[in-house]
Amino acid sequence: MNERILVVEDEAITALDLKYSLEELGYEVIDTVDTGQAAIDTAAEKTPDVVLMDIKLKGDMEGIEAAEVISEWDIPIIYLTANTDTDTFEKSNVKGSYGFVSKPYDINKLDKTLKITINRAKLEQKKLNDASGFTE
Amino acid sequence: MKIHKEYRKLEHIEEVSIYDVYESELYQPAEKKYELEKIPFQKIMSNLSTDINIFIPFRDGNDFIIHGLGSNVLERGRISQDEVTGRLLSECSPMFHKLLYESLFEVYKTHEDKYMRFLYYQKDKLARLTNVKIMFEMGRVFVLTDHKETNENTFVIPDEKRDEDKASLIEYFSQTGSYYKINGKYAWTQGIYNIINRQREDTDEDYNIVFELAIPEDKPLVEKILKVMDSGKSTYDGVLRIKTDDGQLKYLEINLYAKFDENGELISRYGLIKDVTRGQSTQITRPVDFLLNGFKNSNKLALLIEPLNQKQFEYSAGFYTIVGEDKETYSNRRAIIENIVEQDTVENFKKLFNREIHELDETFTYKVKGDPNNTKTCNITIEVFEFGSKEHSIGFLTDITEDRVKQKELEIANEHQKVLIKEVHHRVKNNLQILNSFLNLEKRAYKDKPNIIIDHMQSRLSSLAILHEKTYNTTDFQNINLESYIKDQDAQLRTLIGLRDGIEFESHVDSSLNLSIEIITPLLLVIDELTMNAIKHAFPDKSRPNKKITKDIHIIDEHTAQLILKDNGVGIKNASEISANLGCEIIKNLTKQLDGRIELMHPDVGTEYKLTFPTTMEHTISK
Repeated sequence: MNERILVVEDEAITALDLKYSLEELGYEVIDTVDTGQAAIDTAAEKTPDVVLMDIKLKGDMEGIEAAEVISEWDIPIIYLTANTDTDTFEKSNVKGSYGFVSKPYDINKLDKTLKITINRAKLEQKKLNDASGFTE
Repeated sequence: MKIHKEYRKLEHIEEVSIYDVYESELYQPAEKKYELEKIPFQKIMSNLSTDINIFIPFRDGNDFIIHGLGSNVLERGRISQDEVTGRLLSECSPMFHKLLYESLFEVYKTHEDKYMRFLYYQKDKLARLTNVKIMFEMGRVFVLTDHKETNENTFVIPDEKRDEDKASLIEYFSQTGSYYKINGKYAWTQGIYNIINRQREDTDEDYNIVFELAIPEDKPLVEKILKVMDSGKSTYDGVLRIKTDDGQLKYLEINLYAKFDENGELISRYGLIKDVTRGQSTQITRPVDFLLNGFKNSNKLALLIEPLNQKQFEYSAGFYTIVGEDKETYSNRRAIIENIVEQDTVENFKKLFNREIHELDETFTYKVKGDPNNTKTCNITIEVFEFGSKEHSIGFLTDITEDRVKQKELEIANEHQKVLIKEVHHRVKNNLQILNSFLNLEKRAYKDKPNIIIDHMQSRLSSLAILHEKTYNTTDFQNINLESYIKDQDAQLRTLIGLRDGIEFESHVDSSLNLSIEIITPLLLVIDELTMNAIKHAFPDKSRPNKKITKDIHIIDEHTAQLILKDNGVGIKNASEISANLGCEIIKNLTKQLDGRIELMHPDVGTEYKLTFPTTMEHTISK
């Protein structure tokens, strides 16, 4: 089964390109949304394998805020942003964030980050499942 | 001729008595050694009652060359200026050389002013008195002589009782006087009247005519002196400031002596009073005055002398400028600083007064005359220190209002600049991403048509370049006027396409339409896309004339604007033909980004698109 990705991006052209590029690499883009709230709603409804999250978004909720909510559901987040200053990096380096890819992105690097993130999330999930089984 | 020199310690003056000197001894013919420049203002100087005699040091002060003598001096010596100028003093006037040489040399070497008094006697009778001030300036020694009497044979003293008496004569001209107080009655010498500059009055024996004139700031000092002298102390030395009836401020050196009987009762008091003001200018006599004088022209920085002493405090002029009050209002009030500072600072003052702390450094806001609209930011520092086994305090009050405002402005500007740079970096990277994404999309759609890709990318690049160029000097990204962007975009299109394909571009934009950069960016890209579609599809016959693409952007209501883009081409026969292409997908996505709605209209001629979009958009980037 193809890994399912939710793209949260407010720049329409970037979102469109991401969708095509990721699909060419074999991922399934389950949706592209442009607000923090839409990201939370879609993640809750469709539980993607990874969320590709921009930081500056349309609306009044930043990507980091939305990511904090989504990461509570153990969905890994990769930030894809033009905001590469230290402050933003510190703020985004919270639980659930697995990667930080800066714009303009290199699709090969993004692909590698996605693969590592998905594998790591799977491993962690397995550990969690094993630990749960052991204690049970 | 006989000369006798004596130094008068009380007056700090050298007194020279000259006995039996005759006219013939004053000057003698001497060879003119030097041609000197004529002294400027000679005519004016000759009209002064004070003579200005100028000497040039010769061979490091071995002798002095006469540059010029004052008119009274010349007249008395019955000699002309030409006969003395350029001569050595020792040759031209051995007598004055003998009288003056040591003093001239001293002033030449030390550059310190010197005061002298010459008393001329003829047959033991005082005939003339000359006050002398010797100064060094501009490489020359100046001897200022003030002759109280110009008739060389007689010396008339107004009070005839005194005219034979040298002591009284000196007293008559002196700014030094004395008084006695015996059995509650005062006796004053003439010198005292010279100091306070008034005539004797009958009631003068009833009160202290000098202390009565003490300025308000020094009244407490008078009280202190009298209290101290009545309580068994036998001497007092100090400086007192008085204001005479004719308004002159004078500094007096006071030396008081008291006698007590065996029971400790005061018998008599004797006071020696000397005017140390020195002429018209205020002579600084106390170190404190010297310090205060140094701050007299500063309106932003005030020196506070003994601010913790409730009685003996003095502040430089700047204090009154800073607090916006007259000196009279504040000069004698207690704890005046407490009136201007904030409550927290007052608490710290109390601690300082109680010596719980030994220094204070506070910044506070002061309402000038209580006016909340006229505030000043000030800094006050006070330090307590010991000197001569007594505690003293010194402080500064600094008006930092302007500095604070400037600092605040700089901080805001700096912060704004930082945000701006961050913002610009973000936008540049984002736009590079958009261009990169466009390129990716184009490559997929037009793999084998590189010219189309180049055309499209060139147009988009130009649009984004306009954005950068226009926002280069902007600080407000939320209110950008659209009109000039569209005009520039037209100009670019004319250059890139218009000239090549013979298409005319025309725009009408509501000049009051201001949009945020978050709206302008996708809007320009949509316009680009629609224009490129029109160029590509509307004019298949390249040779037809009057090809035109027009834009009309106008405000519909407070929150909405509309773009109508149309061409006069062949029109679209089958809408489904274009709905599947990349251009259409880009338009749909950018319209979605704008939260807008796009419609394909069907006019009689050509194609028309109507894009309706909100003029405001909330975006986390604008926070």
